[in-house]
Amino acid sequence: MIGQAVLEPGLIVSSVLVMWKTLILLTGSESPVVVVLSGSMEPAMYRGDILFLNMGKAPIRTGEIVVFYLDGRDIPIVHRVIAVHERANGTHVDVLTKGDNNHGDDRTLYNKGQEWLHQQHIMGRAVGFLPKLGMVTIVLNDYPYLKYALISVLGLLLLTNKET
Amino acid sequence: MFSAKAVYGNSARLRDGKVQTMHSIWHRANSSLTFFGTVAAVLCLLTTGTDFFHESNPSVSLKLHDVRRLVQHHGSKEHAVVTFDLDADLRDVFSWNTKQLFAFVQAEYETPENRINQVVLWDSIIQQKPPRPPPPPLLRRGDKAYIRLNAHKTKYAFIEPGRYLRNREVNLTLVWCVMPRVGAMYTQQRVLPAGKLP
Repeated sequence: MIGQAVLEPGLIVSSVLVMWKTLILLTGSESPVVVVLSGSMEPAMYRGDILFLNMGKAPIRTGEIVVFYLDGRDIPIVHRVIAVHERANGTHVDVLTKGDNNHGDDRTLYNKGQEWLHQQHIMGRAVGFLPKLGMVTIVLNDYPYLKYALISVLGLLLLTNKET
Repeated sequence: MFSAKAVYGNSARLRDGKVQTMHSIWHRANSSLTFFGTVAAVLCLLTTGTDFFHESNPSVSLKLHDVRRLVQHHGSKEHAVVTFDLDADLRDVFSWNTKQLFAFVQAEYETPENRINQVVLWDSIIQQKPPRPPPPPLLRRGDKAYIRLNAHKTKYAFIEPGRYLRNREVNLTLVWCVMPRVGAMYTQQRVLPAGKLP
């Protein structure tokens, strides 16, 4: 009985993990699905929208909506590329981004002294979009007691499941 | 609806002694929710699929109007102050699944240091307009998808990180990113050579 109570949730968790990791491999991006957290890309994207990301080998070009992380910070930022300077030998690229809804470019966001983003900062490009479905994760993050309540309810349902 | 049978289901003891519950509220809610989710997902895929068949060929005329200044900037860079003329009719690009267009004008050029340089000079967000009878020609000015700009100043500075702008061949490109209500985004562009900078 105890074995079953441990195995069932364990199986569910590991199958979700396998599916997530496969998605990471297929899209080449470390976070293939993100939720938009700020209003800096309105009216294209609002807080709570879900973005599908793909990295791919194609070079970064202007107009693309990219997700990037700045050194030392672990919140992803989703903005549009507005300038690209790619070296003649192709080894290096300077990228400048800007949120559609922001007045100026992202240099105010970058780290001190940093003028450009480079390939290693960029985690993926937005290729698809689902409106508003990510609001759940934002609400769960803003009100952590909701998260604990949800996990407890799910755990309870699993343990009291009468089906064999 | 909330009797014990409805909530916990009918129990039936099968031949091998296992107990199986059927038709409880949870089962019904579970199947309805799953069905709803599946139908919604299929509808989203079909909706974004219709964009695949949407064709448009907007007319675009884009050229450099004049170059007002080309000066050194912050030491090692160059700054060009230019104006441009843009005539573009992007109304046909909208499909029923299009939420908005993000249109921008960029300068593209090649230098000995950088084989690709793209600098966005101007952008505009064009939202889907509700359907209405076509207005008489004079009132067209209200429709943002019909772009007419003359000797327009750039929104963003045209800055080259090196000193390569003098005598440089430049292309001006109008790019429009189609943001769907649901599904896949795509981008189209029109490249128009703009001649040499002084």
